[in-house]
Amino acid sequence: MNDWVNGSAVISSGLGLHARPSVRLTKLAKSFQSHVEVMAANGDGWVNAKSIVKVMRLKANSGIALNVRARGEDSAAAVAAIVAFVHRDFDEGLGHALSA
Amino acid sequence: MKAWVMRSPHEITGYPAADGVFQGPVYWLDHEPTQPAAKGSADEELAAFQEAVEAAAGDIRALSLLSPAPAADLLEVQISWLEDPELLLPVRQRIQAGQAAANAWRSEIEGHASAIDAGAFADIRDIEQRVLNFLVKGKRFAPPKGAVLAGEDISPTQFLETDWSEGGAILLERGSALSHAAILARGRGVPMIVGAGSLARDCKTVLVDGASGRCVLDPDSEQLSLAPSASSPAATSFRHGSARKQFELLLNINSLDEFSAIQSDCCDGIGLVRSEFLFGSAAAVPDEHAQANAYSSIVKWAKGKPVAIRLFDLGGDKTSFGLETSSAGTSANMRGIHFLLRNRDVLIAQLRALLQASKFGDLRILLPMVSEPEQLSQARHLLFDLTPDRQTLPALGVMVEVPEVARHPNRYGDADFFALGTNDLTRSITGRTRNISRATELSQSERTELFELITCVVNYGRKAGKAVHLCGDLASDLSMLDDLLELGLHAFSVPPLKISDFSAVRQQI
Repeated sequence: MNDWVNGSAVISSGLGLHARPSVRLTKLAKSFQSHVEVMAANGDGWVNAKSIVKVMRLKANSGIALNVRARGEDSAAAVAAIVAFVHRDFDEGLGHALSA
Repeated sequence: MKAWVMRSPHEITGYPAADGVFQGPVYWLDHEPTQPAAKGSADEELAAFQEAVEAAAGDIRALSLLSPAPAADLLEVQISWLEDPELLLPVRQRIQAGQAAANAWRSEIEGHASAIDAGAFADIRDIEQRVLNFLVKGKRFAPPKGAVLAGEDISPTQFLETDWSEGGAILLERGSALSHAAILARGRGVPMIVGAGSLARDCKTVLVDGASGRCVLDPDSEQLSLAPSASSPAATSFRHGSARKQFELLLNINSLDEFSAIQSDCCDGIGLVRSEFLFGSAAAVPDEHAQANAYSSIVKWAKGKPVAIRLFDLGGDKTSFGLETSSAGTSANMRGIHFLLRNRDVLIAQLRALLQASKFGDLRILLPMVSEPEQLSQARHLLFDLTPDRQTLPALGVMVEVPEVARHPNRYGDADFFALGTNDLTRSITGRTRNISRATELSQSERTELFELITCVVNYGRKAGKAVHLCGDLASDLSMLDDLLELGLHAFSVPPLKISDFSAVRQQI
């Protein structure tokens, strides 16, 4: 039985984990074989990070810590990737929505 | 009060929302089935559900292929939902437990409503509806060309998704002449009637007279012509003996194809471009390049005449390009410039695009739903920072849509001009949101209050040397013209459809 690998990052992107970054988060999670879960620090519990429905229900706003855990072969890489993704403000740079 | 008496059981009267006469087959807008679809066995329902989900996802994928990258990004949110086992499995379990597919799907989706940001959930409701359409009717929202769209109400998106190239009309049981769909209908010249009351769903053909608000259900050949509408320009009687003052005639523009039939010499300029409507039902904010192209084409069309382009008025029940409008987005103070200042990347891109277009003529910028002097100075600073040579700043104007602003225009002395947005002013005064259909529906005291507010702004403009024009629906109500001229207003911005009526009046002066 593998143990959980844990990580955490505070959301600093202005709009929080809204619809668009939620999709990106689930895609990122799906790129790993491991079972990946996330939890908003103010939330109800761990949810499947590969489910858009569950991730959007988190309503994780700016300023809240997003906890990440993964279990499986590539669990360490999965946690590191998601923590980095939160630190990069979900890749929502200025002009992301505007430069097609 | 409905002044018109029913002439035959087939004739009904609602409120006029957009002029024009059209007859055609009815296309019912109703989402809900009039009677529940027959429920099949659990296996049949499961198969129907699977097909509906795949068909809906296929439609969205097709749409996303045609959309620019940011729009495709948002459509991907919807596709992700339709692919998420955490959503689909519980629906299948409900169906296996005996629920009809449509009910199972609706219950499961609605179960997420309270847990998801209201703005984002609007997109989820859209997929809910797409799947339901396949389950219940087995078809997409694709009204045939040249039809009368009838039903309880119509959304701006439905209006934009309809192909109006062969004409058409809108007949609503409820709805409002001040709705955004009605504004679009007037701009596009689609006859529209609102508040017609309940319509018999068995009627097949309708004759709509948008100017009078009258329509005939299943007209037989003798009824094909309605009496001339009482509000046609010829029948409009003006006050005798009053020497009417001359006025400026400006255009309201909602879409780029409105220019195709008219030349800029028919007007003195453009008083209001509702920029959020220029890009159809785009699912994401149009990029700077696309915006600059659109604005430039308008400024070039105007050949040096002034063009006032209003910044995106997003939030509330308006188009939102898929932006998160938050649950507070329904209140007026989360709309317009307030919303843009909180979505600064959107604001910056739009100002940049406007600055590019300003090279081609006299472009002016209008701030929507201003409610604080601070908003004007913030926009002014931002514009200043973005202007390359910091010298040729476009004129910056304030939309007066909030009574507080109309009462104290001096607090906005930094504005270069003012535009009276009477649609929202009227809503604030009456406290009604959707049910006012024309100026004559205002009570005497409401009318007095509105005129007082207009007078405040007009007087300040005269004193401070700032231009003031009116661009709400009131401006295109010819029966109001004399009263408004008397208040001291000299510039009116009206939809292209109304230009010829106003030109005729001007020539008599």
